[in-house]
Amino acid sequence: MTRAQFGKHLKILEFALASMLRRRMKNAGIVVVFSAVVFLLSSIVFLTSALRAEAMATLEGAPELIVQRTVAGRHALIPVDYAEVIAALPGVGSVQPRYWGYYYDIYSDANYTLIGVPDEGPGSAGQLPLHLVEGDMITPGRTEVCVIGAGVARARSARIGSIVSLRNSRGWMQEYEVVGILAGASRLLTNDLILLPERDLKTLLGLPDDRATDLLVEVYNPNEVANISRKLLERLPQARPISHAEITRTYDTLFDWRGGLLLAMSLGAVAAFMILAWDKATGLSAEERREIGILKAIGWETSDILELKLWEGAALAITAFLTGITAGYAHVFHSGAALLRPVLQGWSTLFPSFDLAPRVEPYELGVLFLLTVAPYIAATIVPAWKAAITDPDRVMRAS
Amino acid sequence: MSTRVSIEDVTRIYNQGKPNEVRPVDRVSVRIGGPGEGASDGGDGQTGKDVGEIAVLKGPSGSGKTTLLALIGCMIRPTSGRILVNGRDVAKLPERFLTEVRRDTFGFVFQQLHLISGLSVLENVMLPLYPLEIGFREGRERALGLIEQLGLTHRRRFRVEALSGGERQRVAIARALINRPGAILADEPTAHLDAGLSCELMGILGELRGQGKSIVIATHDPLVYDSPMIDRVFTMRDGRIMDDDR
Repeated sequence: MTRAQFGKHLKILEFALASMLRRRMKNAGIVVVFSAVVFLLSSIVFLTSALRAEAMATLEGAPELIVQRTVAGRHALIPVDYAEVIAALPGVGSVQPRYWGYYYDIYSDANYTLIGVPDEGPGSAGQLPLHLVEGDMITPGRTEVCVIGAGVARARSARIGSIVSLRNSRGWMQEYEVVGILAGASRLLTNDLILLPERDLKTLLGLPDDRATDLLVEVYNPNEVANISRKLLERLPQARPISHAEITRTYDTLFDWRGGLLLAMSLGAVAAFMILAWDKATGLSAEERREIGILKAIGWETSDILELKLWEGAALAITAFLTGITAGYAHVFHSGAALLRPVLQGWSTLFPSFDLAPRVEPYELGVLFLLTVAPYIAATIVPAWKAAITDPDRVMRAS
Repeated sequence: MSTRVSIEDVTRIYNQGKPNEVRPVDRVSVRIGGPGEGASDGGDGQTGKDVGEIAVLKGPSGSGKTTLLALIGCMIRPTSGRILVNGRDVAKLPERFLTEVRRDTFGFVFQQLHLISGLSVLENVMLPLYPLEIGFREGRERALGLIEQLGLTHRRRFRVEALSGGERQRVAIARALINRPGAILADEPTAHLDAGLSCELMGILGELRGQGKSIVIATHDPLVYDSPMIDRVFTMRDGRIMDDDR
């Protein structure tokens, strides 16, 4: 492209922008509605994607197999001596009991997850990838101390050195000194967490000495998980082996389903937008038709007018798209997706609030772009083309 | 350089074959512009010397003046007949080439002026240059020159809707001249002007004739067709030219 040709396109772009400014009220209206739809769609996509990523991050470092026990189809505490039976299976490495449970806190109206820290520390097999924001981790031998997630710290207004009181299984208040505050790759993971020394946790929840919540099983070859699960069930019929892959799949399905549900709910808004966009874009005003006629009459070619309308449509749609995406990003990652969280988060309505780790998938942005910007530009071009191919002498006759 | 347009046995029919068929121009032949009496045509359709001319198409409403003007200016194609612009038959040119001929050869002053509201005088005048490969600076200088020539320099930044009728008329003329056309086509240019402004307009058109432009005016205003500046007057009725008065 020569410099002169480039200059020609630049002049048409400049005229397109000037034209948009002249019709600023109409264009502002379209941008507002267009942005609102992109905001809604991008919020859903960002939130679903971020929650899925958060959930997946919780599985990082998790063992290939978790073994629970079910009684009457419900989860029950698992005998610790199951570990010996499982460890005897070929291909199984270590088997560790895990002690954890939920705690409903009436003061902050939130559910906390309590996890026991074994003496060998929280980094042992199957434990979660945790990092401290401040303070120290629970050291072996210490009691009546705790490490809490950022959400708990916020809910309880707790800092290092504060006391967190929890009601034990006998109904008595038990006090724990906060020695550390957690962060993690996933804030979903650490936000509601309270780590207690394993012994303290068992006392607090009233767990019998010979029972654990579940068992973490290390499998040397991940391809053997199904075989090991089968053999395990033969020996321990009440056991319920849950593989890493099963949990991943469940999370994926869960968030895809929730995201799909929300998108379906948004379909009405999207349809309304499409009708509005079609109406606004296709319904060239008499003024716009007149202008197209004038431009044709004074020597603009049909292709020049199409380029003009393409610039106009693209400038408007891209402005609205970027506005909507930015607002969606801010909504999800800075204001906690206040409008959508109750639906997508579902089970954790009693969860302490948390900030999602910012995460944007280029593929998802691309799909959103194609679903919103492309149809709008097409809807703009078609009527302009229809108006531009009419004889320019009509303008001579127009009054 | 002036432009010569030959209309040869041209007919324009709308809604052909339908009950509402109309024939606003019927077997019209006319030659506009070009060399004066006795001047030779170089064979390429260009005139031997730059001689301006003002021709008037006069007649009552519905006589076919505007359609003939549109045919002369390549805005529409004839249903039959030939239109030669500087010797080149343009009747069957594809739309893109026809636009090129129209843009390079003719400047239009419409009855309703058709300036674009919201744009300044300068922007309106520059409008025909936007799709051309002419630098912005060069185009701006050309437009400012015309604006000065037409006495609108002090109004160049004004939006056109803020101008008086006469000033708007001059903006339309400046826009018609921006592509340096050989011919100016004006449709009822005095329709919305009082006698004083009409005389002012005729003065401007006279100056353009002096610069070698061919000017064709469709009008039924006696102030125009009786003006001593007019070289030729064609009277139209029912789509046909009745006579060539001068």
